[in-house]
Amino acid sequence: MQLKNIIMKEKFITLLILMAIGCRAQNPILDISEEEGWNNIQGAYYKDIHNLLDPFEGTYVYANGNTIFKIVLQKKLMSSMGDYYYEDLLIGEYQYIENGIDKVNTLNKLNIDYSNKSNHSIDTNFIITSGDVGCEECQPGEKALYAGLVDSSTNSTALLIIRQIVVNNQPAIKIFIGWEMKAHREGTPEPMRASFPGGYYTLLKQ
Amino acid sequence: MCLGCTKDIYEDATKPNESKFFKTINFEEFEKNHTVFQKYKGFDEVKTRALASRSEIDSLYGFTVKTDEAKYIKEGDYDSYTFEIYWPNAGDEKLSNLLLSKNADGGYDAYIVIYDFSKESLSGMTQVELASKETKFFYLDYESGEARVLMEGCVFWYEQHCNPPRDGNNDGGSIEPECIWVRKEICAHPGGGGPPDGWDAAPGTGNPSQNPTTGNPPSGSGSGSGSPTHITSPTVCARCPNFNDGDTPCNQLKFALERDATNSGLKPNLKPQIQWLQGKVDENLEYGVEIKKSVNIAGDMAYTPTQKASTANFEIALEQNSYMIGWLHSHPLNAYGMFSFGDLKFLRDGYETSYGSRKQEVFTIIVCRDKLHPTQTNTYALKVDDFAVFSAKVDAVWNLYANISNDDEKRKKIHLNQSKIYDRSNNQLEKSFLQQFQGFGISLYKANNNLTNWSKLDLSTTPNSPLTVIETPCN
Repeated sequence: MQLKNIIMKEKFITLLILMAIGCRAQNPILDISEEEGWNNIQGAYYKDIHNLLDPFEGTYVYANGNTIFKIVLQKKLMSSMGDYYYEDLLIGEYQYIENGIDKVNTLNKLNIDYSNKSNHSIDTNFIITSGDVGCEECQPGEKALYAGLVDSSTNSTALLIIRQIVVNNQPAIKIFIGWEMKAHREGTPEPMRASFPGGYYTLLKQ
Repeated sequence: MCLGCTKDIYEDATKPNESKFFKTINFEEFEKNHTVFQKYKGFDEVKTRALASRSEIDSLYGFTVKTDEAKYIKEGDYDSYTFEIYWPNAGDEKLSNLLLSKNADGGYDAYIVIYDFSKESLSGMTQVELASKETKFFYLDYESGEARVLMEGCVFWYEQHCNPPRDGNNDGGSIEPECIWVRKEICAHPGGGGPPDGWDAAPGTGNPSQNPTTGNPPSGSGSGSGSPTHITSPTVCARCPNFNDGDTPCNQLKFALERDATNSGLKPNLKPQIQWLQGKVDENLEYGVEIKKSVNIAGDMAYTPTQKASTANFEIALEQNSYMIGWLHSHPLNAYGMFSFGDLKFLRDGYETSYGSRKQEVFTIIVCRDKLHPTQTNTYALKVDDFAVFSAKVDAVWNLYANISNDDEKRKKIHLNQSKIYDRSNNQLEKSFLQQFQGFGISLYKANNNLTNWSKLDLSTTPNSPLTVIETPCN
């Protein structure tokens, strides 16, 4: 009887702790469009309330001769920014093959369960529409993504714009990759060039 | 010590058996001093590599060292070796030496010494004339594997100064001139004070037996047996830019826009560089310009721009080194037309790397399309007001993302978050920037349309009023 009481008491305490964590982690729940960068609200959960990230999920491939560019995009819930706030994210990994050789391949990172999903090579929840910076080619009513991409093998970061398009009745994405300026600091080796060129790519959904 | 002279400046006054003496040695004898020879070898290797990798010979690498003989000078524990050098492509014939001077650690420092007279004219010059000439010293630092001329540290040398002969005690003869050794010292002043990148001279008299590597710098008045003759302060550049230390950031930026009518390089002359970037703002690529400040072959302290264009859709890399004072780049059409956190971090690192008094000139500039007025471009500049604060604040933002382990992923996330902040500003990017980076120890400037002046941008401080951006034109 005494043992049963102890077990009941422990269960009650555990429940209280879980409730406390749950309250802290999800208070308030806001839409991802309400994120304010590094001014986000402590404890808030920026949720993809309108499921705007879902249509971008999938595996996409660009093929041109011996060059293949494959991107896998997945939606992840409640990525933790150091327990300060939480957010739903679209993350991605990719592979770029040139003349049969892997120039860069991050697809194995899809198997890693990061608490902060921004550790993936691609991440975003920043929806842009016509008239917004980065959405210069967007049609009225179109929703695109303003994202970031990393090529860690060369310490390169890029602006990534993702638009949903249709090519010959097949769903696809048109992406823009713009590699960002680097610093070459005195006494350090010349910075490596990104593994593949920036610019526009059209990738068909598989 | 002057090499290349048939008669050395000190020759009359030095004898090998005195505590201070000099002699001419051949290269084999020079090699016997392993420490100084290794220093020379290191320099020679860097110089050879630099020449092999450069299409143009510049002021540092383009000279030849005449190694058939060296002058050796010794005074107590101190000694130095001096080689004559010449620039095959130089127009003037000023006498120049490579000086390897023993330092307090027992190693040797290397300097290029440029005298203000030719080899031929030296033989006809008097001691007084010699003392009135300016001598330029350029410290060579090449331990990092890349030769650099740095205006750092001090170098000492001695000059003999004599009073003119005077009549004696009515005996028909004259008293020999009284001579003293005058110790001269030139030092660079990193971080401000004194003329820009110039050398301050600290003239004074010294005991000729004083060890120059350990003696305290004399403070001006003589202690020898006669009055020192006039000593001219050496300057580091034959022609120095018309730029004053202590100028306000506004004036520094204005100076940077001034036209260099004679293309002398004595002004940063940024307008053509900004105009070049203005032509790139509708592209989806970044372009950049580095502004270097260094001594050119004519001995002038000159500003040199280097344009960096993206090739085949790859990124550009701008160099940060001790010579650099400024970086400009364009923001592409599909990026925000205001400084990113990455730009601030670049400025922080560039400022840190820039050398000595160059720091106060350091700036970064962006050129971008005005999204609200698509026919216009905007040119913004950032200046550092308080580096300690600035650096700490940059680190503080960086550390907010501590649970992103990879620096590249961290940069990506910060950039994405800042883009959201700019997006929510309803195109009030200037206001958004000033709000984001209030108290960061930096200030924001905007160039006028014809690129002749700047305005400082600040947030209004009127209580109970909506925040607005106030533009204060630079005078």
